[in-house]
Amino acid sequence: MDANVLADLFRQYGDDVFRLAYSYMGNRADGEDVCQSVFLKLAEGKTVLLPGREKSWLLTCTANLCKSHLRSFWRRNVGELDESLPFRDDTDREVWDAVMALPPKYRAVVHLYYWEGYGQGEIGDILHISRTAVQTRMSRARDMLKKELSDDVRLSANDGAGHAQ
Amino acid sequence: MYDYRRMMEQVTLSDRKKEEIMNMLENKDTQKRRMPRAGKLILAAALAVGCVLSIAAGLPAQVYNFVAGGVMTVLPGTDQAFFDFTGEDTSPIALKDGRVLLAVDGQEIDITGKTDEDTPYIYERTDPASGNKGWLVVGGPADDLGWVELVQFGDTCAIGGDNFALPGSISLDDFKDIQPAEDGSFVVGGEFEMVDYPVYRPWLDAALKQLGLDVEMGLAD
Repeated sequence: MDANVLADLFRQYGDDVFRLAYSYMGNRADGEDVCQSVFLKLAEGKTVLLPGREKSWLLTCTANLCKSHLRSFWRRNVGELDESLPFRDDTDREVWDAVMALPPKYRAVVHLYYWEGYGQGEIGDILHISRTAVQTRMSRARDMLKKELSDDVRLSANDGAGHAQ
Repeated sequence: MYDYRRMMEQVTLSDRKKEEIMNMLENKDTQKRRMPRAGKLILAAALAVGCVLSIAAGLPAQVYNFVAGGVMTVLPGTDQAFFDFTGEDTSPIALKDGRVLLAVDGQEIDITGKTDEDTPYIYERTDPASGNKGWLVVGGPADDLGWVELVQFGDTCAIGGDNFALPGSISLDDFKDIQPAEDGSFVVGGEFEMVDYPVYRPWLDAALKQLGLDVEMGLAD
C-alpha cells in the first residue's frame, strides 16, 4: 500500500483505533502499542482494504490484536501498567471510571456501541462474536454499571447507537 | 452515556506516538520495534520461523520428524525437548495455478477454498519413522495463508510454521540467533529487539480448539 495512503488512513482513523485499543487494554502504553501494530500490519501490504470498509477493518484488526495482547504471556506476567490519561476536563469521571473498571470484553462492546455507534450486528462482526453474545455482554455491562453509578449518572440503554463518530 | 463520550473525546494518541507511527508508515520502517519490560523468558525450543514448546516432566522418549524438516526428541526423565533443524526448511503449502496445494508424506492435496481467516484445514498424519501422530494445519485466505505443524507428547506440545502467531503469544523470529543454554533452554531477559507480530489468527485458534490442544509459550519466573 502506498505510504501516502497509509498516512492518510492513520490521520483519519488513528485516534479511533487508539480509542478502541485503549478501551480494551485499559492503559495508554498498551493502547498505543496496539495502535502501532494495527498500522504496521496494514503496512505489510498483505491486506486489501475495500473502499468504505477501511475503518471496519482497522477496528476488527484492533480488536484481534487486543485479544492477543490480553492473553499474551507478556501481559500476564508484566501486569497492568498504571498510566491513566490526563483529562483536560474530568467532570464526567464517574462514568468513565465505571466503564474502565469493567472487564475488557465488556469495555469493548460498550465502546463500540456508545462511542462508535455501531449496532449489535456490526459489533459482532468486529469482535468475531455472535449477535447474541453482543447482547449478553451489553446486558451484563449495563448491570455492572448500574451497580457502580450513582442515580444521577446512570446510563440510558437507548443512548448509544446513532452517535457514530 | 454522554459522559463517557465526553471523556472519550479527550482520548487521543500522544504526539510522540503519532510522530513515531507516521515515520514508520512513511519510511515503511515496520521491521523492528522495542518491546519494553520483557520478563525472563525461557523457551524450550525455537525453530526457524517460530516454535514454542511447553514442557511436562517425566515423559517417555519420543521422536517426531516434521514435514517441514527437523526432528524433535523428548528425552526420557527430562523436562526438555531437543531439536535438530539443521536440514532445509520446506514449506508444505504451495500456490500453483491459483490452487492451494498441501504437500505431505508424498501426497499433494488440493485444499483450495477450504480455508479462510476463521477456518483451518487440518491434516492428521503419522510420522512414518516414529509412528507418532502430528497435525498440519493450514489457515487464512489465499492471499494470507499460514500453516503450522503440531505435535503433542503427553503435556508437551510443539508448534512450528509460517505466518502464524499463537493465541496469546508473539512471533519469535528474532530468537533464531539466540544460542541455547547448557540445559538446552533459551534464556532471554531485559530489553531486547524483537519482531512483534501479535496477530490474532482465528483459524489457528479454531484448530487448537478442535484438536483440544493447549499451546502456550513456556515461561519461567
